[in-house]
Amino acid sequence: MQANKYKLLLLAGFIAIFFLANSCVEEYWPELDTAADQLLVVDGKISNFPGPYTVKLSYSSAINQQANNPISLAKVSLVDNLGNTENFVETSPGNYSSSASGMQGIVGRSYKIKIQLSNGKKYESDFEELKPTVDVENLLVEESVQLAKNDLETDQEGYQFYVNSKVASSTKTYFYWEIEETYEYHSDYRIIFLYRGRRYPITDFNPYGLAKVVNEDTLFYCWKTQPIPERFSYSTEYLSSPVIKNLPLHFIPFTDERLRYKYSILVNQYSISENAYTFLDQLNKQNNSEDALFTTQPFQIRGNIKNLDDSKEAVLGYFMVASGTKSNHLLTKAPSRIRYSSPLSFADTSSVQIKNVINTALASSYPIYFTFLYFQNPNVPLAEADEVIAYVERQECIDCQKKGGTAKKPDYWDW
Amino acid sequence: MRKRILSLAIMLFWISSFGQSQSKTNEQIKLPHSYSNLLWSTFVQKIEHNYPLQFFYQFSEIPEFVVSFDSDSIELKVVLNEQLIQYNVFASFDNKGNVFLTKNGSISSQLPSYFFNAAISNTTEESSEFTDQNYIKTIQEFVAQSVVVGTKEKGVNKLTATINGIAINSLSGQAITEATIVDLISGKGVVTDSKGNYKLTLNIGKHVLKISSVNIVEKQIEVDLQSDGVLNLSLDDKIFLLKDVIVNAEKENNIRSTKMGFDKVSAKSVKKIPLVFGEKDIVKVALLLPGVQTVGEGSSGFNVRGSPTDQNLFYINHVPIYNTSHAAGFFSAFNADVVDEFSLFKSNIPLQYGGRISSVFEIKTKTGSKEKITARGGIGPITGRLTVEGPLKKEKSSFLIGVRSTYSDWVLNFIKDPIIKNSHAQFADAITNFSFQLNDYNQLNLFSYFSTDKMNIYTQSKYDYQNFGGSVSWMHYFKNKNSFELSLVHSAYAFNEENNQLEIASYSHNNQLQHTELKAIFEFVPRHNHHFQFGLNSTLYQIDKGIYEPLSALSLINTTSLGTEKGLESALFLSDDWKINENLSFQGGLRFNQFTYFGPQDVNKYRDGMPFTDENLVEVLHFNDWESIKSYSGLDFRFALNHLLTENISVKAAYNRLHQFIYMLSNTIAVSPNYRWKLSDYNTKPIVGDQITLGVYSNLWNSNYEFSLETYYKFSQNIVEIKDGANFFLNENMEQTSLQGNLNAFGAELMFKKLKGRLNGWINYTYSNSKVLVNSPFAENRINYGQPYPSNYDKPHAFNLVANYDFSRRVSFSGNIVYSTGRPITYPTAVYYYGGIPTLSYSSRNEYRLPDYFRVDVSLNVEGNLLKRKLGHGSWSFSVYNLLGRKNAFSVYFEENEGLIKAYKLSIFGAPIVSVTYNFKLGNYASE
Repeated sequence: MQANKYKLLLLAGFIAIFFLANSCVEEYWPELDTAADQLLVVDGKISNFPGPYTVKLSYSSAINQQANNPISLAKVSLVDNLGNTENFVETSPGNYSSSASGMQGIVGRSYKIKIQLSNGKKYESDFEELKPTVDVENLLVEESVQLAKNDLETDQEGYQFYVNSKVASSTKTYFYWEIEETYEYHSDYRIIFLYRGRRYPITDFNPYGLAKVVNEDTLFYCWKTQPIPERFSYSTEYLSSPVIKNLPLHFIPFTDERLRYKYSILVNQYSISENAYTFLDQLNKQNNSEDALFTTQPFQIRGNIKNLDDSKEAVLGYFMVASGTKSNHLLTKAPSRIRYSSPLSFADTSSVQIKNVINTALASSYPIYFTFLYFQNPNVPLAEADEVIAYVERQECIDCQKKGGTAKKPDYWDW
Repeated sequence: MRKRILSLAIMLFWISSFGQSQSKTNEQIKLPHSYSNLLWSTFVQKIEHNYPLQFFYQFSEIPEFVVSFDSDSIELKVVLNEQLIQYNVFASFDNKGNVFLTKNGSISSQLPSYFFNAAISNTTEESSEFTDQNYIKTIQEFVAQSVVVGTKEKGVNKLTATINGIAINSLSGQAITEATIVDLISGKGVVTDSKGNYKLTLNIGKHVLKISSVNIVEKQIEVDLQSDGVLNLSLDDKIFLLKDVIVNAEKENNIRSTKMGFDKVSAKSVKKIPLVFGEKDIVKVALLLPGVQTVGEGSSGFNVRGSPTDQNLFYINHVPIYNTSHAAGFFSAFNADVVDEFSLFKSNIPLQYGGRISSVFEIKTKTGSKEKITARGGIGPITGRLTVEGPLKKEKSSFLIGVRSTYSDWVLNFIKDPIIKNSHAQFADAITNFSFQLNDYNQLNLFSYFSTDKMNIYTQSKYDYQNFGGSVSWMHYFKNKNSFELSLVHSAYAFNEENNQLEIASYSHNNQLQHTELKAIFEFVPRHNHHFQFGLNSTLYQIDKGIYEPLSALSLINTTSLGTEKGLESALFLSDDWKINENLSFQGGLRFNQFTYFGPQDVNKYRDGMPFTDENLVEVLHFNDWESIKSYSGLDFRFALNHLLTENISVKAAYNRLHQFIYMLSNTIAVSPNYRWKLSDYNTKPIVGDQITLGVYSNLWNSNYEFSLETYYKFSQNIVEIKDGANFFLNENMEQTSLQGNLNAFGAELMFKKLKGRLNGWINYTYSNSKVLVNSPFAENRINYGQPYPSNYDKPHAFNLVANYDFSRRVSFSGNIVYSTGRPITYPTAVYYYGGIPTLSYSSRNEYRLPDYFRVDVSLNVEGNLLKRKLGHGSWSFSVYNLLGRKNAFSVYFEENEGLIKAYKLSIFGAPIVSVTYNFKLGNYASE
C-alpha cells in the first residue's frame, strides 16, 4: 500500500516540479481483448479464530464485463497435516463453509484445501503452517493531510489510522491486516406510527388508526460494521526487530459521511506465510499502481492453488493459513470542522397515498413505518403548526436497519 | 560569375609567371642537417645567415617555440609549413629572396601592410604556392583557390602523386576530423582522420578539391598537382556565414566512408531545434535520428536499434558517463553550450571502443580559444548557463569552463499545490577543459566533468546523484602522420537515496560505481590506402553496492552492507581502413576482450544448471581481495565494406560482434533514476551482441540532398531481464532477481536530408522490431511463459521531421514533427474478486500498445545583428513544445474505484509548453 502511494507522489513530484502540473490524467478505455479466459479464483482462509471458515470459488471475468461468477456444486475440503479432514458445504452460490463446530486452526499445524469442480478438475493448495500469533499493541489515529485518490492536486484532511504490534517471536514475520469499520448513522425520520395489518381507533392525532410506537428513537440510531475493502500487509524481513510501529493502515477523509457521528475501527492482525505475503504484496503493488511514471512490469500473479493434473493451468487467488489476533476498537469522534449535508428523503403526506399503502401492503413488508411532518405555515404561530402523518416511501430512510446496520449500540460506543 | 573568377585567376597566373624560376629555387633550398631544440628566432637568424633569404612575418602570429626536425635534405618550404601549421601560418617565397609567413595562407587578401613597401611588386606575382583569392569573397561565397602542389621536376615520369596534409580550423587551430575532401574532376575522395590528417592520391595535373565538414564553410581549391606534396587546409568556421545547415554536412562522407549506422551532429547545427522548455539539448536531438527511441518522456537513456539503455556507452572527451540524465530523464546531463558535436555509432562501433554492444555516443566538447577570452551563456525557464574560455598562454594553451544550473527551485515556493510545495528538484553540471600545446608534436588535454541532481519528493524521499569524471590525454604526433594517444580516465557515479515514507523502515542507501580506464591508441598510416589503428585499453570497474542504514533513531532497518564488486576489462584492438581500390574500401579489425571478476566477494554457488534460488544454493564461496573469481574472454570483430557504385551512390555492408561485461538493474518500465550498475559475475554471463547491417547511400542533386537506407539485424545473447515481481530492496543476492535471455531486433532506417538552402532539415522513417525471449526448462526461469515478447521500447513505425526555414539571416523558423507507434504495454486480461476487492489479472507481457505518439514543436529564432566584429551577440528563441497540446499517453493504468475497474491515461505533457530562451555570447573581437 505504502509503495503505491509513494509512486504516486514520485510521479506527481517530478512532473509538478518541472512542468507545473502540465501533465494530466484522464479516463480512457483501451481496446481490449474481451474474450478473456475464465480462470478459477479461490478466495479462502483458515485461522485460529473459531469457524465457520469460508472458501469462495468463482471464475474471473473479462475486464470490461466485471462480474462475480460463482462456481457451484464443487467439493471443498480442508485437510491438516495430521490427516483430519472436513468437508465444506455450499451455503450460497460459490460460498463453501465449514461448520461452526468443525475444525479450528491450531498454531503449529499445517493446512491445505482440496477442491474438486463439477467438471472433475481437481485442485489443491500447498500445505502452510499456522504461525504463532502476534498481538496488537494498540491502534492509533491521527489527523492527517493526504492527496486525494486520482487527483494529484487536491489535499484531503482525514483520519489516518496506525497499528502497533507487540514484538513477534519470529524474526521474519509477515503481517496481514483486515480492518472492520463501525460507524453510527441515523434515519432521516423518527418512527411515530407503524402499521402491521391491524387498525386502531382513529383520532385527530391518528387519522389512519395506526399503531403508535413507544420509543420514537427505535430504529433511528443504527451502527453498521463492515470490512474495509483494502488489503494491508507488511513484512519485518528487513527490520532489526520483528515489530510493527506506527504502520499506516486505513485513511478516511473527513468529508466521508461515515464520520458524521462517531467512527471506529477494529483490526484483525494476521501472521501469514512468506509466500502468502509475497502474493498479497504483489497484488497490492499491481492493483494500486495509480500512477505510471516508474511502474514495474505487471504479470500474472498466481497463488498457492494448483491443478493436480495440469500444473500449467493458471489459478488465481490464495488459500491462506493465518493466525490472527483482534485489536481493541478504536473510536474517533466526528471531525468538528466539517458540515455534513442532510438531504431528506421524500415523505408523502397525501392521505390517498397513505390509505393506499395501508390497504395494499403485503404482510411480508410489515411493519410499515410512518412519521410526522410539521408543516409550518408562515401565517400561523409556531405552536399551532400542523402535524401531519407522512409515509416514507424509502423505508430504509426511516428504518435504519434496512441499510444494513443494527440498532443495537455496540458496548464500546460511549467513552 | 564563375567566368570572372577564372579570368582573374588567369590574370594572376599570367602576372605571376615572371620570375617563377627564381622563387622555385629558393623554396627548394634543402636544409642539409637536422635541427633540434632550436628556438624559432634563432632558427630564422640561422637561415637568414646561411641563405640569401629574408623572412617577413608578424611576431604576434608566431610565438617563440622550439624547432626540431631530424631528416636531412628537407626542403625549407616543407619544414616551414610543417613547423608553422600549428599557428596556421604558411610560407610563401618570391624571386627576390623574401619569405612571407602569413596567417591562413592568404597572402593576397590579407597582405600585411608592414611588408607592403618591400614586396608590393612581387607578392601578387606570386610564386607563392598558395594564392588565396579571399578578397573576392564579396562576390562569391565559395572561393576557388589555386594551389600548386609539388614540383614539376619531382613529378617527371610519374602519373600519380599523393597529397597529404592536415585540415585545421582557421580560428581555433583545432584539427577538423571527418572532413571530406573530394576531387571534383576525378570523383576521388577521402575523409580526414581523427587527427585531421588526410592522404589523397590523384593523377598529376589540375584538380578541384572540395572540402566540406560539419562546422566549416565548404571550400573549393584548384590544385595543380605536380608531384607528391603537402597541402594543409585551413578552413573557416561556419558561424560567420550564419547559414545554418541543420545536421552534418558529411555529404560525400555519407557515401564514401565505411561508417554505417553513424550520425554526427554538431551543437551549432541543432541550436534551433525546439525542445522541452527551450532547453538546448544536443543529446535529446538524438531522439530525432532514425533508430533511436525511448520508452517515453521522463525515462532515462535511449534505446538504440531495439536495445536496452544499458547497452549504450556515453563518452564525453574520453570520460564515460553512467547517468546521462537530469531530472529523471527529462533533460540530458550535457550542457549544449560546451558541446562541440556528438557522434552516434549504431553499428560498426570503432574498435577502440568496446564494452557496450549497442551504441557509442561520443560527445566532444569545445576546446577553449587560444586567441582570446570569450564567454557565452543563456537563460531559459529552467536553467541558466555560462561558458568562459580563453587562452592560458596565448596560442599555446587554453581553458574552457562551462556551468549550468537550475534556478527555478524558488518558483516552487509560490505554488500552492501540496506536492510541489513540499518538493524540490535541482540539477547542475559543469565541465572544465584545459588544452596545452606542449610543442609541435605533443599536446596535452585535461578535462573534467561534474553533474549533480537532487530531488526531494513530497518530503518523503530524497534522491541525489552525481557524476564525476576526469581525463588526462596526451597526444603525440609523429612526423610521418602517425600518432599516438594515451589517456587516463576516471569516472565515478554515485547515487544516494533517503526514504522516509515509513518511520520504522526509513533508510538511506548509497551506491557508487568507479570506472578507471587507461587507453593507448597508435595510429599508423604506412601507405595512402591503409590506415591502421591499434592499441589497448583497460578498465577497472569498482562498484560499491552500498549500505542500507536507518535514517532515524525510530527506524528499525538493519544496517546492511551489500558489499562491493570489482572487475577488470582489458582489450587489445587492431583496425584498418583499407582503400582496396577506387570504388571499394574496407574497414574492420579485431578486439580481444578479457574480463576478470575479482574478490573480495562471497559468491553463491548454485546447483549446476538449476535456477538461482535458495533451495538450489550449494555453497558460498569466499574469495579474497584481488582473487580472480571468474574470467571471461571474447573476441569482438567489425567488418565493413563500401562499394561505390557510381560517384553518388554506394552500398555498404557490415557485420560485427561486441561483448559487454556490465549491465543495469532496473525493474521499472521507464528507467527510473534509482537504477544500479552490476558487473557480469560468477553467475551472470557477459552479454554478446551481433549485428549485420546493409545500406544504400546516395547524394542527390549536386550533393544538396542526402539519402540513405540502412537495414539491420541484431542478435544479443545473455541480456539481463528482471524477474516478475523481483524485489531489489536490501537484496544481497541480486542474481536471484534476474534472468538472462536473448534479444532479436531488426529494422530499416530511411533518412533523407536537405543540407542547403533556406529550407533545410531532415526526414526519417524507421521500421523496427525488437523482441526479447527468456526461456528455460524451469518455469521459474521464464518470463512471459517462455514466449517472445516485444521490448518496452519496441515502436515499429517512427517518423521524424526536422525542418528549419531561414526567413532572413536573422530570423528563422524551426519545427519538428514526431510520430511513432505507441510503446507496448501490458493490460489486464481479467478481473476477479479477492477479499471482496475487484482485482486485476495480467497475462502476456507487452501484448498491447499505447495509442500512437504524435507531437509538433515549433520555434522562432531571432538573432542579434550580424556584425562580424562586436562585443557581444544575443539571440532569442521562442519555442512551443507539443504545439497541438496532444495528450500523448505515457501510460495507461487500471484502478479500482468504488468497486469498479476504471482505466486512466497519463500524459506527461498535456498542453503546449511555451518557453523563451535568451542566449548570448561575448567576444572581445576588437581587442585582438
